[in-house]
Amino acid sequence: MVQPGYTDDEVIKGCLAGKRHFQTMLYQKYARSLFAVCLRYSNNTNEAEDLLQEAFVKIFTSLKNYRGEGPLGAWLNRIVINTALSRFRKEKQSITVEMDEIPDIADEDPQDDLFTQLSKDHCQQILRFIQELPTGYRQVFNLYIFEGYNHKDIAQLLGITESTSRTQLHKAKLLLKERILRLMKPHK
Amino acid sequence: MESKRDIFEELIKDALQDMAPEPSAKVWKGIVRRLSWKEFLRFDITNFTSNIYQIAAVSLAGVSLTALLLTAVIQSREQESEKKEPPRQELTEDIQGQPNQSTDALTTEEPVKEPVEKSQPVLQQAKHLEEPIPQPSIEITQTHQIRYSITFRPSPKYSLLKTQYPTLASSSDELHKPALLKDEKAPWQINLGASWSWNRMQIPEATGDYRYNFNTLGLKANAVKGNFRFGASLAYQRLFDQLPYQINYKTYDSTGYIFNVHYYMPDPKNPDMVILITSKETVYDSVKHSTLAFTSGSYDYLTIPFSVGYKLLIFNKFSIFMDGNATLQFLVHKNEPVPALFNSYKSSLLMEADLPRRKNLLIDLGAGLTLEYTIFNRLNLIAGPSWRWWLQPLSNSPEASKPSAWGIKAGIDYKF
Repeated sequence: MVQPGYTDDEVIKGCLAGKRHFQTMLYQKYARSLFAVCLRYSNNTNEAEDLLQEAFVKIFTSLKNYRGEGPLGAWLNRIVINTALSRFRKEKQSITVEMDEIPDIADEDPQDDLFTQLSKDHCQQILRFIQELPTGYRQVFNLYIFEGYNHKDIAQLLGITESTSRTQLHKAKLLLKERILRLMKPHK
Repeated sequence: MESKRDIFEELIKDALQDMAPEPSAKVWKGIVRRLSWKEFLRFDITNFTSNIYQIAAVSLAGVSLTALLLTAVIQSREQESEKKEPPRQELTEDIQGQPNQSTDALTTEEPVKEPVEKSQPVLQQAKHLEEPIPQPSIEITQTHQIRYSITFRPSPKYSLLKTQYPTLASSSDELHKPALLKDEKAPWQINLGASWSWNRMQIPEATGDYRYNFNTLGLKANAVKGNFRFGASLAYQRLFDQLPYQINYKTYDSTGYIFNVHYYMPDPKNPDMVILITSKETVYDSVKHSTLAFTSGSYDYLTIPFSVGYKLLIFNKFSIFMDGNATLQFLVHKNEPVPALFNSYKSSLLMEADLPRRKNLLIDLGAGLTLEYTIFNRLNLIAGPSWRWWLQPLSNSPEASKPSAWGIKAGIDYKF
């Protein structure tokens, strides 16, 4: 959704001036991609919409802090992730309980070749599997796989140790593999 | 193992990479609601127009609070003064004790002999009250003149003596009945207040009247003399107008089909004909579009209304005024948004706006009625209808016409 006649800079200036018209433009341009991020960090669609709403309010109120050093999309992405993580920190106590309930899963699966059949057609199912992950696993998985953070950064962001981050990523991947394999088997 | 893990990560990432679902409409509504509230609460001293509601609210609250405090202070002082005041019986006894000082005697048509001397006991008694007695402003030589002096409202400073005047009056009923003041005798009085008005604007246009609502907030000062009052205000109002935009753009659309002949062959059934082997191809080209879009421009005016009013009627704590005013309006800020253009407008976008220039100074004439209700002895609530007629169109456009508006005002004022 690109509005011809306006650059990102002009839209940002309009937003900073408090003009609703430009805020609408910014929202329409980035809402979809940011909503996809929100969905990955949430348990369900309603929670993702709440997260998107909270993130956009933060975006509009802190847009003055954007110095234009990087792409606007990346800056917006970071705000959404930070908003999701700050929610995660508030809910950390309950997450710990969830993590304890996760059973140990075998490290290796002989049917790894099945994963090569994954395609964009499976995106809804994969998203659902990610949403069903325990919150702590999900955050580490998203930060590592999609945002490209290393374990040291993840440990700092989430207030956990590096080894915990590695363990959670490992378990998250095992859980996902197990579910994806269940999904793929009938297709074989 | 490690390479397999990397492949898994990449596959997951690729599967979700292009996913861009549409959030529901309630998300944007929620954002707008929360932003509006944040903007309302935020106070930016450099931006007058965005803070007008806060300024108005604080001003209204400040005036109300000041008025209430002043009223409370004055009431407590009056109560203290009343405690110090000697019993009224003494005064009335003295008056009644004097020959020819009865009410009946004073109300006769015969001239009163030595009237000033006979009122001396009252004046002497009043000296005990540690307050100077106001000099009677009218010669008390005839009965009807005495009545005039009694209907003259004493200044608040001597209000404690107000209850003594009836002892000189022919009829106490006449004194307590609310009456219009004699203007030449009444003192000047200052009122300060704040008011808000809701207005319905009507701008005649060829395609039909353009109507909208607008608000005016202001502080006012009135000088009151008798039944007349003269006022000036400082107010803020936001007017609106339609802004037409002519938008031209091109899209790359299908314009028709062509059939490509790849080869032909003789028709076995009809030797004179051939069969064409073709393929159909859609032809695309740039298509010009033209549309007219409107946005709503907002124009903020700092207004200075000058008004004159006349008190028509008083009953109990209510007064009705008839007001006329002339208002100067200075354009201080304007916002003329351009239309939001979305993805359907592909290329060669050309937007032409022939926006009329707004006038920096407008003048309107107004009339209205004001119902005034006295809450305390100095604090009044006011409300009433008003009508306004602009003397010129809001813009320099030759097609623009003069607007008019009707409205309802409400506010408070405090008498000093």
